[in-house]
Amino acid sequence: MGNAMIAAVEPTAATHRERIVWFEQIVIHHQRRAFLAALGFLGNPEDAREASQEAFARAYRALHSYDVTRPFYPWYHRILRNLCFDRIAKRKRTPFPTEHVDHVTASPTSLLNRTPEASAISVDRQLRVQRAIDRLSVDHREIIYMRHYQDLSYEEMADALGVAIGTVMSRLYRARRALREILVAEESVDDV
Amino acid sequence: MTCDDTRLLMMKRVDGLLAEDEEQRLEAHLTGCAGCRAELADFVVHKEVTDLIRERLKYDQALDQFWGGVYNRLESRVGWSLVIIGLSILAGFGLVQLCLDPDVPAWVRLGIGTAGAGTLILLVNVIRWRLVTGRKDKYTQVIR
Repeated sequence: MGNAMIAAVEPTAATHRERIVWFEQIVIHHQRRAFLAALGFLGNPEDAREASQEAFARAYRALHSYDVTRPFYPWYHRILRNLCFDRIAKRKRTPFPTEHVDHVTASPTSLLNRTPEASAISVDRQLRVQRAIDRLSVDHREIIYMRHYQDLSYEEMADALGVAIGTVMSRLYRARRALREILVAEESVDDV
Repeated sequence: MTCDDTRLLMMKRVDGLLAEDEEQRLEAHLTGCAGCRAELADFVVHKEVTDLIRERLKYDQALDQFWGGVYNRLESRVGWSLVIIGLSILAGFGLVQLCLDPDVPAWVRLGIGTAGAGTLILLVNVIRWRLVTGRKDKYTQVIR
């Protein structure tokens, strides 16, 4: 969407009210994707909600630097990414109390509906894969979240990360290989 | 075709973006490479698992009143800006009045002058620091 909405109202030229109405629609359209992206970075639903909201507020204040001919989300993602990296850096300087560590590292597992479903893949398997994703480095986790959960195209990912599509695919390969290695290592430990 | 050349094609296969000629090239390599076959099979399974996780994620509660939160942030920023501007104007006016008023004792003027000088030094300090870090910041284009 993004582009269709932006074509309807030019945010920089619109009145304050028009701009707010336009921006509300943008936020509603991208909020899930934004929340998941922040969750991938920060690993905690509360932090993710707070960071994605703050990133939208910053995006609104920076609308003058937004190129309306480009899709909104990749531009927004760069703001969110910088904000999350700042928070991760602060977190490193001021570590979370130990009792929160499990919660922080167990990102969407706490958001999963545990109701059994008619699925060939067990809930246990899903939780195992999710925990392995949570153990990836931030860069690997980011690209996995972008493709697997936010469902961004290679072009959108390249735009958001400021790299070529080939680089996106290489990073995705490395991230998926890292995920596989974690899962293989876990399975071999379980087998012992 | 080497295993390294196959990696990008494997990514496209996992994401369902492979063109017909690419499919043929990938298949030709996979036929003779058990390592890449196993790797690709795992990638496909992991993608299927995360697709299921995505469907089952319950984020409705986390996104409840999401726009309200964004709007509050925008509004509170405007509110704080107005408060700071208003207080600055009032403080400036008060200072000028106090300085011009002949009935104000010298020790009060001295106290106000000292506090004013301190505030000015702090302000210059902050501005100078921002200028120094701004010049050295490699990420000046980054929106924060």
